[in-house]
Amino acid sequence: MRFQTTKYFIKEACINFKRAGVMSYASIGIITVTLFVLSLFLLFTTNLKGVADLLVKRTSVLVYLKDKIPQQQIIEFEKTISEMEQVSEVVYISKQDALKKFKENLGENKDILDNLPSNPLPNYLEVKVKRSNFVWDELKKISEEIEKSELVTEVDYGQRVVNILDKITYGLMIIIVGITIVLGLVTLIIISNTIGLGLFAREEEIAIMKLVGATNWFIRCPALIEGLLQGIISGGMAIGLLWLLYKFIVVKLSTADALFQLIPIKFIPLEFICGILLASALSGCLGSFLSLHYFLKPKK
Amino acid sequence: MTYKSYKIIREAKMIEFRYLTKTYDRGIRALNNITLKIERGEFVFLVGLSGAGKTTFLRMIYADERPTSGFVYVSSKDVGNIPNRNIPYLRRQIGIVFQDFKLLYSKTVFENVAFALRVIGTKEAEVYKRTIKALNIVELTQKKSCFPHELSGGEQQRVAIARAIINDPPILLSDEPTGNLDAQLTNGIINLFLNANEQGTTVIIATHDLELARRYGGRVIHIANGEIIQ
Ligand SMILES: Nc1ncnc2c1ncn2[C@@H]1O[C@H](COP(=O)(O)OP(=O)(O)OP(=O)(O)O)[C@@H](O)[C@H]1O
Ligand SMILES: [Mg+2]
Repeated sequence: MRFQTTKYFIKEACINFKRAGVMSYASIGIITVTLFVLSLFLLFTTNLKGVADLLVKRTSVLVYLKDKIPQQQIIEFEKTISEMEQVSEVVYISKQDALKKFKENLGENKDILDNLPSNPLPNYLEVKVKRSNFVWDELKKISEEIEKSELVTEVDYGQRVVNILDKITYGLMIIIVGITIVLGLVTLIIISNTIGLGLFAREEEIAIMKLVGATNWFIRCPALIEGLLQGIISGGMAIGLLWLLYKFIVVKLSTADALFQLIPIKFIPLEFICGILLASALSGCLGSFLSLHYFLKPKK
Repeated sequence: MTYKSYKIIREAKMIEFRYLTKTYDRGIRALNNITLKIERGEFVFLVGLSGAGKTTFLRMIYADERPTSGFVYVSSKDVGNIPNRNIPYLRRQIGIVFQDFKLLYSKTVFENVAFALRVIGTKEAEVYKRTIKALNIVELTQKKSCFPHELSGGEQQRVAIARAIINDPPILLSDEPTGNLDAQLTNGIINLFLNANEQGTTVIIATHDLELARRYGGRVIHIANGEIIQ
């Protein structure tokens, strides 16, 4: 399409947008609120693991080793691990030390272990991880790396908690997808209604345009751009509001009790931002496309 | 592709009706079994009383209505069966002055006239030049920023005329184009159509005013109750 015509379409879209007046702003307002609710869920999910991390102060991985590994190999393995990013310290605990520790923990019942024919506990490494935001993800990453070694029988990084968190996140994601679909439909209906009303007021004009030789696309384009505008503006405003809220929470937390100061709050990732904008733009376009359908159907 | 296939060639047989009948929804027969030819470059007055079927006659040509039976050909194309998607390409080649003007009431005089150029994607500089020229011809340059409701009936009519002639179409249809004009302006408008006709444009003017037809000569087609009278 010619640049000339595109410019004309954009101008037309803006004129129609303004002519719809309060309706345009009302529709943007409602869509902004719906998208804001959606983005709140996204913000919550994004930060779920971070908050959980604070509550469960786990920062180390236990690496259980196979029996009868030459000392030299263990030392080399220790060294490889301690060179990994995010690892602060690696401590080797032998079978004997492990048993001793265990006995200490048992206190006065420690005699029951004396009858064991051999030491059932494995040698293991305790890998301490630097504190950071989202330590769960770090723990998982490091563990997966360590697990590759053939010296290792098992790695324990609190999988159970992480698995539960993953399940919650997964569940939330499903809910969010559901909400997104519902809110997407709401956006669609609102935009198609607003633009439909504007088109209705211009029904006569549209008929005239056709009589003077305008194609359906020539009539459609400004309305599609109008829908796109409404969608993008709403999406942008929703993200803007979320950002303000986010900043507000961060400031509040930094002046709150020590415990809360540690909660690492992240903003929603770029993919989500792009997703919201794209979805709102698309439903804007689709909304106006649907309302155009009625006005462009051929005579008879 | 579509444009080319619906290109109106300025050929001998411009418009042809064959056994054309148009019956509207409520059983009103507006055109009854009409057969006639209008050759290239003819200047035709379509004369008849109110309700005779003049507007319906013109609407058949730009495919605003489809025949109930019979055929309409424009430049040998079967317009009665033209696919919907090709109708715009046909209309871009027919300048039409509607009886009720059909101006875009939310747009200025300038934009109304320019619209016929915009739908075919004309360059902005060209749009400006040609629109001003067309407004000049109908003597409305002064009012180019007015909205239609700020104009008199005759001025609105002239806007409609400017929009119809701006593309220099091979066919010009005009429905009571002088209804709201005084004798002097009427003369000016008809001369405008005569000028276009000299360039080879086929012109059809529908009017109830037989005197007007007599005064300017040209072919006269009489229509009454949807039938052609010899
Ligand atoms: N859209 C329509 N639906 C039903 N009947 C129609 C329609 N348009 C016109 N008619 C009828 O068809 C007949 C011819 O109408 P038409 O508009 O062609 O007359 P006309 O010669 O243009 O009249 P006028 O000089 O008053 O404009 C009239 O009886 C009219 O009532
Ligand atoms: Mg009429």
